[in-house]
Amino acid sequence: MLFQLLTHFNWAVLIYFFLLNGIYLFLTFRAFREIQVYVHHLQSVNFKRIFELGFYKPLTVIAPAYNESATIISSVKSLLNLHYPEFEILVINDGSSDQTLEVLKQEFRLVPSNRVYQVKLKTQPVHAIYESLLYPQLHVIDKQNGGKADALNAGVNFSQYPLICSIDADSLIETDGLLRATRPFLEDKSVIATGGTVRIANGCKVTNGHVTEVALSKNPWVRFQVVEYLRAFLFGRMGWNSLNAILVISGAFGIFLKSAVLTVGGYRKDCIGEDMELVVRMHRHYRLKKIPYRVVFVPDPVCWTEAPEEHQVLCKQRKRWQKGLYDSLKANKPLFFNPHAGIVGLLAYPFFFFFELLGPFIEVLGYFVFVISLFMGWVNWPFALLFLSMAILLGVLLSASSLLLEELSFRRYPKTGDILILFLYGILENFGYRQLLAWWRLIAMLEYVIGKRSWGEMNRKGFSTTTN
Amino acid sequence: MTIHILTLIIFLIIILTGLIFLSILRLRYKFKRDYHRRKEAYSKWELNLFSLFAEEIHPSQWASHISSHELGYLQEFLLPYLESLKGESFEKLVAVAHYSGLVKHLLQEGGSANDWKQAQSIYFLGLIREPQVLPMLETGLASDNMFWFYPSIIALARNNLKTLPRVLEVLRNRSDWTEHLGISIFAEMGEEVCPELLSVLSKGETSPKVERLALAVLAHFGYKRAEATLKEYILYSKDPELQIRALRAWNQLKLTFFEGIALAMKHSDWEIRAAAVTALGSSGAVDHALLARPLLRDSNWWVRLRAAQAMLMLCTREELHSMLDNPLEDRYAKDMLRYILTREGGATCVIPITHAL
Repeated sequence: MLFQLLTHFNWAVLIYFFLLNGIYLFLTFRAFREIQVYVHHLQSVNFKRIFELGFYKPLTVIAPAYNESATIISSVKSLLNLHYPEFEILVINDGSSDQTLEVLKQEFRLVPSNRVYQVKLKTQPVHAIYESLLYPQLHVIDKQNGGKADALNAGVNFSQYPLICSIDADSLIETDGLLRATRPFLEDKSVIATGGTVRIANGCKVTNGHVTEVALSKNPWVRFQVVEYLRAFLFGRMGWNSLNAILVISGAFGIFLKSAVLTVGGYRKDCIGEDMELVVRMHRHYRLKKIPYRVVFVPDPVCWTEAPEEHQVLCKQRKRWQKGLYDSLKANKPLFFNPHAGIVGLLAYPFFFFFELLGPFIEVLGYFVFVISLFMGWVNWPFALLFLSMAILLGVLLSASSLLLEELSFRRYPKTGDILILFLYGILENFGYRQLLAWWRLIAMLEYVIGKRSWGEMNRKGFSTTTN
Repeated sequence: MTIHILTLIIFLIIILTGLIFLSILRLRYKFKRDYHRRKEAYSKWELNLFSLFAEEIHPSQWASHISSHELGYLQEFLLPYLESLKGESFEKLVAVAHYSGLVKHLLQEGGSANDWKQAQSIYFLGLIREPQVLPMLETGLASDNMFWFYPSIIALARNNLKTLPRVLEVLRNRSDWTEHLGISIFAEMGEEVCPELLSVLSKGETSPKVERLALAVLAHFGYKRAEATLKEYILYSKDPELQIRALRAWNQLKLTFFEGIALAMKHSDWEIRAAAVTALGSSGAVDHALLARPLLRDSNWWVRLRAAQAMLMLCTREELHSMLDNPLEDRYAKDMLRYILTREGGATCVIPITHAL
């Protein structure tokens, strides 16, 4: 009886495995095509000239900050150096218990502002609004703690421009990142959101709030994450982008049409993964109401972020992401296999549900079943070894593909040695790292089910910066 | 059977991964080689460029040393020079593009199925005013994509003055262009476009947005022969935006005062009043300076500001100070005069900020 059950399970896993990797390979193929077209487009016209001619939409950068005193100054300075014809920066101090507000006040000479705060989206009470005596485009909103979504909603309320850019306060955006990320809004009037690539800044040289020299960190946890990020952004998002079915725009760097955000009711406060939830809700709204729209991933505007260097912090982060995924999918159930929602309902949502959400269950269960089979002496060794090898090699193939995409497109890592190291880490991650991530994600799911849904804090070291 | 299939798949994956790995290394090598080739070509061409401008070599001599695989680099190299140079130097570089076969190559790429290749070729061919580019522009001119529309309209405008009706037609048929773009389109055509624009305006065959743009372009080129047309707009236009544009053009051209300006200063629209009093100031009509005085008491802050600025240009400091000393003068008028005198640096008075604002 147990033997039969395990045999059935093995077949189910096999089918699941082939489906998952089939979709991955399909996305990789789409991403290759998409990225080649994009890179060539990029070379076609001097896009900065278009902005000089007045073709731009003014933009509000919203940076929620909660206990970010270590990184907030360099982040805001990096934002102030961005190249964009017309933009304002709103830092939302979300009830920080550390010195975040004080360091901001001191560094940027903040004074109380009289600008009107309109409540279009409900948020926790706003204590004060400050403006900088040094930089007229900089405002700081001090409010009661309500979470990142609440802080972003406060930013949307205060913003005076048609585009909003949500970023993490610890992120560094490349100088012309905003110009590049807003380009799709000029190319197509139906674009409602765009997202840029997020890369890991650990190991890079940061000068005056900007990454000036790209290099790989020596920390193995970070190196694994670099491979993961390349895979997620270059083939994952690029592939989904080609189908207009991108469900995630990273909270670290996303640009939205403010009217579209207001139409769908802003960020959800009771949700851990507010960035993904907003995008999924936008898809749901526009697809089901049959309003033409596009959510676009733009691969070259890069936002650099600090990745966890310790496994405890990484664990917290990944748990939060998994809970966020659960939240986002749960909140938008009507999309599940909904033919009216097109490819989002029929492919993207089910993919995220079966392979991203349930993936850790299947993976961990697979390891568990393997151990039972081992004890019972039911293991078909030739098959098991071949299957395991294939699983590992497919993982390596996907990582190698993202490295190839990187080479075909943006070549941010100038040293060939770094690329070879990343290739090596693409192999090594299959021996322990992937399994650990699956385990953390599974724990996160169990915690979510039993009601432990806190955001969790991430301790920042801050970028090691030099100043000219 | 399953084992065989799995083995085959594994074998394929290993080969594919190996190929990807080799491709990465090859791309790295190719990129470095390209970088060195480009650098080498650029340093060689920079010397050629100076020799060409110094008339030490003929364009055909330079072109004879450019091989077909260097045409891409040549296009990149010439672009910034073509964007900034004019006259003889510009023509010499155009000749290099012709002799080297670059123009022929781009004309072939302009007909390519790839949008980006077309846009890139069209931009370059437009820049060098190549007449053969004209039939390739229609797709870009109808496109909503600004990165596709922009090179096409610029290529059309730069080509020759005969394309003006088509440029106007394109601008009339769409509204998603900015005034910056409009002015840069006509700026590409040169000052010769002004008489043509005047004749278009007199026929009244265009849209208000294009009319506003045409008035701005006339002012941009400082075309004083537009005086009669501007007068007509100031006196008879029903569109307040056009009246404002005409008054601003009058101001930019520093034309002399006429009665239409005095009439416009009494208009119910504050923007027209502000534009009119500014035009009065720049006209240098000292005899009519007092016409600005009632506008110092205007209900609109901007009109009061422009009136004060006009009076500063037309009156002596003594006259302005006597107004400040006049107890019968309006309080807001005095505040604005104080403000403008202080800003100009010629007054010792203190601005009562709360009143002025």
